[in-house]
Amino acid sequence: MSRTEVERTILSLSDGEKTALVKIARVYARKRNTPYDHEDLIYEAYTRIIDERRKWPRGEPAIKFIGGVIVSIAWEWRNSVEVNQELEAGDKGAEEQSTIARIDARTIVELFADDTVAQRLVAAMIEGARGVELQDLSGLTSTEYESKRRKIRRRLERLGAI
Amino acid sequence: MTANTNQRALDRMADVLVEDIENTPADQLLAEVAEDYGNARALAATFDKIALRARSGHDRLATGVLPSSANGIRGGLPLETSPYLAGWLRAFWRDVIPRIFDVIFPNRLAMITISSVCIASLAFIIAAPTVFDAILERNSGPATGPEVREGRPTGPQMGAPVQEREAASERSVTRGLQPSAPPPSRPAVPRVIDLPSAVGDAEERPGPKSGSSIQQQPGAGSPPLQSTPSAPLAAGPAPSAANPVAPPAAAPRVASASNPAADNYVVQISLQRSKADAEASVRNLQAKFAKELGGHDATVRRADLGPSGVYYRALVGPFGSADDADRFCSSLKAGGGQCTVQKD
Repeated sequence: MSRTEVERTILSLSDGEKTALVKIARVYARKRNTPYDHEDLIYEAYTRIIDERRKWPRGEPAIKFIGGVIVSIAWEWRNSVEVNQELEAGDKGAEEQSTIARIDARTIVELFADDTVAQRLVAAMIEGARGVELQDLSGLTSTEYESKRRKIRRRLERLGAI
Repeated sequence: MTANTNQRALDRMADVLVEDIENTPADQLLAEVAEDYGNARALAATFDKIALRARSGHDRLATGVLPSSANGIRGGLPLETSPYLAGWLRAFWRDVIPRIFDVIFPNRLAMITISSVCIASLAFIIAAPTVFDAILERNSGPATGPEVREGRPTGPQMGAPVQEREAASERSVTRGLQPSAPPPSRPAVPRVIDLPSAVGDAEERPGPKSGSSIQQQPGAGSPPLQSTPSAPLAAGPAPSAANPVAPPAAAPRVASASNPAADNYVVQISLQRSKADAEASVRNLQAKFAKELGGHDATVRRADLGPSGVYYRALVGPFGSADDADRFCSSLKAGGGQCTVQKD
């Protein structure tokens, strides 16, 4: 898309699309545990798209494309932060870092201790299960499954856990 | 579980959440935001704010689309009651306005340039009449003598619809001439009769003159040529030794249409855009310069000055010679009046 088309498309985003993009940016900003926040991610994504450093394929839905740019930037920044942290960490023992990681991973699962189905689903998500596989693991109907996933996401969002 | 393993786990979790977000209907997302923040647009407004900042950071012209959303135009419209209007406005705002701005104001420099030109043009339009008046006044110079015929009125009057102004002025003069409301200190309202003059009009052409006829150039809002304050008309001249009011028998005489122009010179004491204004000017001048004008006839004569329009001259005379007319004009000027001598 041309620059004008890109600008026009971004300017014509609906409130729902904008909300979705902010939520996506928050997910990635939180989980990376990095110095930047979701606003930085959106700002950078917007800038790169407008500058045409990221070409917007014609017909690509806004959330898919902008969300993808946000995720891409988050990855890029995380890698650079990790490199810096490794350089700064110096003599920090592997055991200490492992403890921190364990606490982080465990916290996510323990948040759903009151809901065994949700806990099972979260654990599966963390392991990389997707779509039908997840639904099979849950043993829920399609409607129940969607509802459960929404509850999981909502709880994580409210707690700022991810 | 190492840090890297944990991070990968969180990445997977995040991917699932993003997938969820992408698949959740917009209205449900907005409902969630309303539930969390009390305002469904809270996150959309955040996006608008960031986008606006990013645009500003790129020296892009903010077209107002984002702020409008942030200001709640989209959310504030009664969409339920007027979906068509809201949809149209939304489409207009999103599609047409940015396009117009893109065309007209491709960047801020162009916007500033165009704005500056507009402001300068406006200032010029406002100041032009005053500047032109000053130039004309400088060029015309002081009064030089009886050979000067007539000044060319300028200013706002030139653009005014003459007929309309005349009609209004004549109505007001008609009211002013009603016997029931004469000026209190005036024994009788002088009867002013229009005296057609094709000869004089044909001789005179508009254009800068070297004479004294533009002694008092009418500027914006200033009275044309021979201005006379309204006070004398309303209250009349105060009876005093310095300015005695002539008795009715000696009141300034006004020539009738049947009075032939036996002599060749007249003195113009006022020039107005309407007959009514000229008549009023005669009355005021007769009151103000009762001594000088007392023994002379005053007439109002139509003068078609071609492109400059139609004017009405207030004339005194006729005089038997240019010297007589000049002497009269000089005496009027000595009393504070203004005049020009013309060949009748």
